Amino acid sequence: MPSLKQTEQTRSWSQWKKNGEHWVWVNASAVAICLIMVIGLIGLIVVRGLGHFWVNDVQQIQLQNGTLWLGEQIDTEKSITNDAKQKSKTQILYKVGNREEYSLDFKWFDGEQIKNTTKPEWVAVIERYEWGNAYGKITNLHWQGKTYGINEPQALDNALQAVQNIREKIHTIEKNDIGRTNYQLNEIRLERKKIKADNSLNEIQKNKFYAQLYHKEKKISAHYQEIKKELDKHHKKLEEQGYVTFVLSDNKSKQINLGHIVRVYFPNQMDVVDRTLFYFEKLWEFIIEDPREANTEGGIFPAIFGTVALVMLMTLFVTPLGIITAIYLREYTRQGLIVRIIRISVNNLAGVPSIVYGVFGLGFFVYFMGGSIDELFYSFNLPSPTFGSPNMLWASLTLTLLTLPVVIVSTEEGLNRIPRAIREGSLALGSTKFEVLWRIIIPMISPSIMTGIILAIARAAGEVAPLMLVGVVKLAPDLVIDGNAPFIHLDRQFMHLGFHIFDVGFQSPNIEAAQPLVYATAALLIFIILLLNITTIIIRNNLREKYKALE
Amino acid sequence: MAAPIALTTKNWCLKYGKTEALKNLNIEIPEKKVTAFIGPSGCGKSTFLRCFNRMNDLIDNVSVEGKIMLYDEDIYDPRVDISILRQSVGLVFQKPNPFPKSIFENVAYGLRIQGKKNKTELQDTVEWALKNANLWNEVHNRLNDNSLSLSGGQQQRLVIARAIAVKPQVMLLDEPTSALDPLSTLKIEELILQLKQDYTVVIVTHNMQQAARVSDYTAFLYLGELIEFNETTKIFSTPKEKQTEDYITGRFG
Ligand SMILES: Nc1ncnc2c1ncn2[C@@H]1O[C@H](COP(=O)(O)OP(=O)(O)O)[C@@H](O)[C@H]1O
Ligand SMILES: [Mg+2]
Repeated sequence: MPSLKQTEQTRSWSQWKKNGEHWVWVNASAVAICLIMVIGLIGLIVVRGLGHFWVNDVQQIQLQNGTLWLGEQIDTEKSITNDAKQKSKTQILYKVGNREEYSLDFKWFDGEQIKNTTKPEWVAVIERYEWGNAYGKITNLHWQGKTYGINEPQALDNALQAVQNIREKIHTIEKNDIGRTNYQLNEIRLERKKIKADNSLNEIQKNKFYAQLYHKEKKISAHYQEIKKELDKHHKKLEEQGYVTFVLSDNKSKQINLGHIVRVYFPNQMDVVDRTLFYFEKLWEFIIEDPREANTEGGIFPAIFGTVALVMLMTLFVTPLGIITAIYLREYTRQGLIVRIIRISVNNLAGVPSIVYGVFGLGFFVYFMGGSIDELFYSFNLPSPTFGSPNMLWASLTLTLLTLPVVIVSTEEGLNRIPRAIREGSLALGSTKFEVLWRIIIPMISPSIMTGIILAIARAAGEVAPLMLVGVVKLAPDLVIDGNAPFIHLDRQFMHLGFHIFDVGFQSPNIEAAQPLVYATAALLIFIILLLNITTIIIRNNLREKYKALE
Repeated sequence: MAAPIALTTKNWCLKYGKTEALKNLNIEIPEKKVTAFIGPSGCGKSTFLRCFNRMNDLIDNVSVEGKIMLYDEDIYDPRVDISILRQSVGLVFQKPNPFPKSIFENVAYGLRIQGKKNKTELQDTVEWALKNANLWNEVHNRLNDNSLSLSGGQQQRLVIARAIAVKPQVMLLDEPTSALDPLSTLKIEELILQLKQDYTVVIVTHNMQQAARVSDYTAFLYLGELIEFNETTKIFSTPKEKQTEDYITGRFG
């Protein structure tokens, strides 16, 4: 009887290969490579992007020639020289701020030029609404007519708090009251145009309406003037708060108006706890604030809002359309050549480059549909377009077309998996085909539909190219949803995180300032897509649990 | 045959495309009795059974000829509302096919299709149907559980409860126990004997003992033809046809 134990020979390479173990190893390495790439990518984005909000020490740099600079070290680079005898030179990038003085926030220094660097405790960073950061030494504070020295830090806190309060008031008035009255005035303007173009009214009727509108407008204008006065008062108060006297690294003294200051901090005095708190404060500001300074400062809230709104609207459109199409193709048509051709076409649509959808959206939705709507319903407002220009509605419909194939395909796959016995069981109880679909089949395929939606969201949230043609802009102060009736304004343009990355990264004059923001925005975009996907996946898993199909 | 007749077929023929599956069948199925269809597989038992609630309409290339009467109504009359027909002639399949919904919703399904929304009425009917299907005691405290959590035999009784909840006149059962274990089979057989008090039952089975145990009348089909139809006791004791005898005694099949 042969031994059951492995001989030396059976453990050999050929045996190993016969068992297929080399394939296991190939597969495992492929998976490992994928994982490393994904983790690397996300790691890079997260570290670079989220690292941006950490407070670094500010160094005082003394050059060989005696000049002094203040700045945050950003980057070091070794430049390779051809000359073999010469040592390779180091160059160091500092953020030196004070843009109104030096015209650039960032400056490269030769490593050899630098004599020494120190981290003095007195360095203050003043974040301003304009001109970026200022680095220097605060000598004293003039607030509401009194002068305070540096030994009274409490005074600075109080002053900044007072400024902050005034700013908040101004912000509320600008956002709410001014925004609302502007909106109302615009509505009246449109109303007037509408009456003017309405041929069914005679002169007397028109004049009556004009008089009504005039009355209304007068009231709103009066209200507007009041608000404006109030606003001017706050602005004046803000300007008159006072200023800090500030000495720059080159001993030049400046006055910085308190009203222009976002915040003041002393980085070299901060410990880890302070820095962590400060970090989250900055991160939070990045998420909830409007952008400032050509999108290189402040937050990106409108872009987050635009992205989420766009994806949700797209989901709202694509889900019913995809389901109905798939059901028609699978349940109601005869499965012949034509349906096969349609199905192949739908599948191939998924491979069309997205910019093509953008071009189509611009031509069909914006110019044709939007133009027609304007002619039919908003002709009084022409030549200025209402729906005939790129906006949220057309952008979301363009993305709907782009993602329709995935929803159709997943829904059809779901329909294919429904056992015949279930359909027959329902029909045998006297339900019509529609009732079977509505009561049994659609609930049962809901997990497949959700899979389609997950794929659609993943694809749509990452698209930028088509959006540039059908509605995205670099700065859109008004959100698509606000407090003015009818609350949802799909005729507005919007900001988008993907486009924001492109705009800040490649259209901005201030490259060094923009770079970390590109990473931070990318990290946020990934995070939002993840959040949207996780939400839908949770919904899908719940549905799956509920409608476990017969086996 | 003293009992009134529930279902009558006259010169009934059915073709799948060009192949004749049922040939000139004439049968009278008595009311409130159990009638069994037996015969070797592929002889057309299921096809015939599904004619009684027009399930064959779903298949594209089926053509039929002849007449089937439910009492005095021609069920293939173009004016017949198929939904109403299928509610009065219920069908239970070989493999239990509960919907992936709760036990309650499965039984209430036919009622909801009829547009009934009254909660107490639904609850009463569901309870009544489950009791009639001998399932109430096992599930009354978990009516909201998913029906797929039941065992195969329970699922089959649930499907029967679902069919009787709409109060049909005829129950068609297509090999209802062939996918079940012996104990569940026994329970279903008991249920069938109980059902015939209120319903006309037609059952397809390939199990001779089962036919003998539960049915009052037996029809033997062979290659799409009705060879013999008589009281079960007579078919099993003194078959008139040679083919019937051969099949019953297991000489072929
Ligand atoms: N959908 C169909 N299309 C074509 N032929 C069918 C179809 N269903 C059944 N048949 C044929 O009809 C005959 C009877 O089938 P069936 O009624 O299922 O037999 P049984 O239930 O007695 O085993 C068989 O020969 C079968 O191949
Ligand atoms: Mg059969």
